[in-house]
Amino acid sequence: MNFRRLLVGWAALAAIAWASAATAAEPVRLSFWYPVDVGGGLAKVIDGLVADFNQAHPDIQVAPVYSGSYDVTLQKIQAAKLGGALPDIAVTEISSVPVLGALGAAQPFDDLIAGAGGKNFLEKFWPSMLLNCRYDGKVYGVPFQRSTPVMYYNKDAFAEAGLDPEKPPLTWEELANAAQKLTQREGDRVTRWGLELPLEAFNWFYYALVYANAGEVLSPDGSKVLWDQPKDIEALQFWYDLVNKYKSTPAYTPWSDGPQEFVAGKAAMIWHSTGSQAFMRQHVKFRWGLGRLPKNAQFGPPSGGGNLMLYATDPARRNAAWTFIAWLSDAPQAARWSIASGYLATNIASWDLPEMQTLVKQRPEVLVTKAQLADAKVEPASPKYAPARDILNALIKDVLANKVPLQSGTQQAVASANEAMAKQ
Amino acid sequence: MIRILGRAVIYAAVLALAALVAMPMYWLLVSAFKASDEIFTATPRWLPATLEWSNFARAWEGAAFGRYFFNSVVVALAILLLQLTTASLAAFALARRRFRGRGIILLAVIGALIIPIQVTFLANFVTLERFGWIDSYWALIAPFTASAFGTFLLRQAFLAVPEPLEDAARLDRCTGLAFLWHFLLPLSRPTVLAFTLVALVAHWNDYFWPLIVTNRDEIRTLPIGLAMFVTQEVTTDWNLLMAATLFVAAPMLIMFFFTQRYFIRSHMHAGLKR
Repeated sequence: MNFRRLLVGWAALAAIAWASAATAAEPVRLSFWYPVDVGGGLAKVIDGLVADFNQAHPDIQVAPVYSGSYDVTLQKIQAAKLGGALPDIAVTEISSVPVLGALGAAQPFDDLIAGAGGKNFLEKFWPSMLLNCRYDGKVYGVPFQRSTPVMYYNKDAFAEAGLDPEKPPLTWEELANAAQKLTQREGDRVTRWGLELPLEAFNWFYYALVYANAGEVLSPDGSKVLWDQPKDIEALQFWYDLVNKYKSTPAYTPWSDGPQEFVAGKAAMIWHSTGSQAFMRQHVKFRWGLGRLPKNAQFGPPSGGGNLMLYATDPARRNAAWTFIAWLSDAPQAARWSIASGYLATNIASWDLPEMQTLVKQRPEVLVTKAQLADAKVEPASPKYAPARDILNALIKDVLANKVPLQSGTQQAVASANEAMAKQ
Repeated sequence: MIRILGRAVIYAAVLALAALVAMPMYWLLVSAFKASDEIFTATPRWLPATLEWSNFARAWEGAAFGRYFFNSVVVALAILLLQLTTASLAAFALARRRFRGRGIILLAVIGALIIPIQVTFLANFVTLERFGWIDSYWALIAPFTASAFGTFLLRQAFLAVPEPLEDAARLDRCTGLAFLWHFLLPLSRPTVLAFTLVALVAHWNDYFWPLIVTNRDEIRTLPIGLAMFVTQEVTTDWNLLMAATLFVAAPMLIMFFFTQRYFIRSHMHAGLKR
C-alpha cells in the first residue's frame, strides 16, 4: 500500500519534471506598461506595434498594459517596486528618470547599448532627446513618446489683425506685439485672447521662457533651484507683463482647456504640446499654423513626454526587454508612432523615410517641430524635484494673479523649494 | 397669503438646488450625443444638432467594456456580500451582546472610520504581493471584506430594535443568528439598503486601487476603461468620454432611482439614534 503511494508520488514528480522541461521552449513573456489614451486611438496603435513585434520575434511575447496617467504610472511602479512586481518595460514621464533610478526600480542599460553599437546607437536619436535619459552618468531611458511645446496660431486671425499669417512671431517683442493686436474686447470683457500659455503640473512654459532667456532652472547637481536668478526673474516678468501689462493673456488657463479655446476661437495663439497636432488637424475649422516658441536670447523649448525604461533584472528577460526597446525606437517604428500620435519622431533616420516625407509634404508645419528638436533643452529633473515642481506651480499662479509680488514671492518660493529638496 | 409666498420661496430654492445637481447630468447627457466639433464651441450649445448614436458604439469599442462590466459587477457584488456578512455579525455582537472589551472594539471601529483609505494602500499592496494575489480578483476584493462604516451603521440600526422584542423572540426559541436573520436585519432594512447603495457606488467607482493591482484586461474594472479616454498631453475626446461615462454610471443611477426612498429614510433616522 505504502509502496504504491510512493510509486504514484514518483510518477507525479516525473510528470512535473517533464512538463517543466517542455515549457523551457516557451517564449519569454514580458509586460509593457504604457500611459496613453484610447480616445484618440493611440492604445490601438500601441497594440498594433506590439503585435507586429511579437510576430517578428516568436521567442518573445510582449503584453501591453495601460497604466493610467504619467503620475499614476509612476505611483504604480513605485508600489510595484515595494511589492516586487515590477513590469519588464514601461513608458514613464522623462523627469521620473532620476526618481526611478534612485529608487532602484529602473535598471541602467549601458552594457546593452554597448552591445548594440554603443555611441552609434545613441547617435541615432536627436541629442536633445537624450538629455533626459541619463541618471548618475548611466543611461536609463530611450526616447519614445516625446514632445516639445510649440506655438499654434490662427492664420485667419493674423490676417484680420493686419499681421502676416505666414510669419508667426519669433521674438518676445514680436510675440507681445502680436498678442496685443490679436486680443479682442467687448467693453471690459475679453472675447478673444491674443495668447494663452496653459499651465500643467510640469510648469513647461516657465521653463520655456527661462530657457529662451538663456537662464537655468535647476543647479547642475540637481540640488538647488535657480528661480531667483536675474534671467529667471526676467522670464517670469515677461509672462507677468503679458497678463497684467499688455492684458493679452489670461492669468490662468488649465492645460487641457488650451486647445479647446483655440479651436473655439477664444485664443488666437496658444503654446501647447506638439502632441496636440492630431487634435488640431481634426477639429480646427480655420487656417492655422505652427511657430517655434519665440526667443529672447535663444530658442530653447523644454522637452517632455515619456521614455522607454527597463525594469527587468533577470538576464534573459533583460535581453528580451532590450530587444523590444531597440525595436520600438528604431526608425520605422518611431516614424509610425510619430505619424499616428503627433509625438516627435525621435529617431533622426525616421525623417528620411518615405512615410515621414509624405507627412512633411501634406503637413509642412511639422518641420517646425523638427527645428525645435534641434534646440530642445532638458526638462528639470532630480530625485528630489517633485515638491519643488509643486511650489513653482503655485508661485506662477499666484504671481500672475497678483496674489504675491514677483520678486519677494520668488525668493520665498526658492527658499521653501530648496528646503523641501534638502529634507527628503 | 404669507404662507403661499413662503412656500413659493421654498419651492424656488429647492428648484434652484435641483437644477444645480441636475446640470452636470444634463451636460453629460447632451455631450454624449454631440459630434466632436460641437463640443468646442464659443457659446455653449444646449442641444446637439444631430444625435450621434455612433458615439456609444465608438466608446464601447474604445476599451474592453464588456469584460470590464462583468468584472465590475462581480467585484462590487462580492465586496458587498462579504461586507454585509462581516458587518452584520460584528454589529450584532456590538449592539446586542455584552462582553469584555466591547467598548474598546467599538472605539477601534470608530477610529478605523477616520483613517483615509490611501494610508492603507501600500501595506495592502505588499501583503497581497506576498500572498501572490496581485493581478487577480482577490486583489480587488480581499482588502475590502470588512467595513468599519457598515459595522457602525448597522450597530446603530440594531440598537434601535427594542430589547423586549428580543425577549419575546427568545420565548419562541429564536435566538442568536436566527434573531439576527429574522428580526434585526429585516427591521433595519432602510439602513441595510442605504449601506448597500453606498458600498456598491464606492466600489463601482473605485479607480486607483484596481489600476494599481491589476495588469490584465481580463480582471480590470469599468473606471479604468473610462480613464483610458483621458489623454496624456493632449485634449480629450469629450463626447466619447461622456458616452462611456453614461453607460458606466447608468446601473448606479437606475439603482439609486429605485432605492432612493429607503436611502432618504435612513438618513432621516440617522440623526435620532443613541
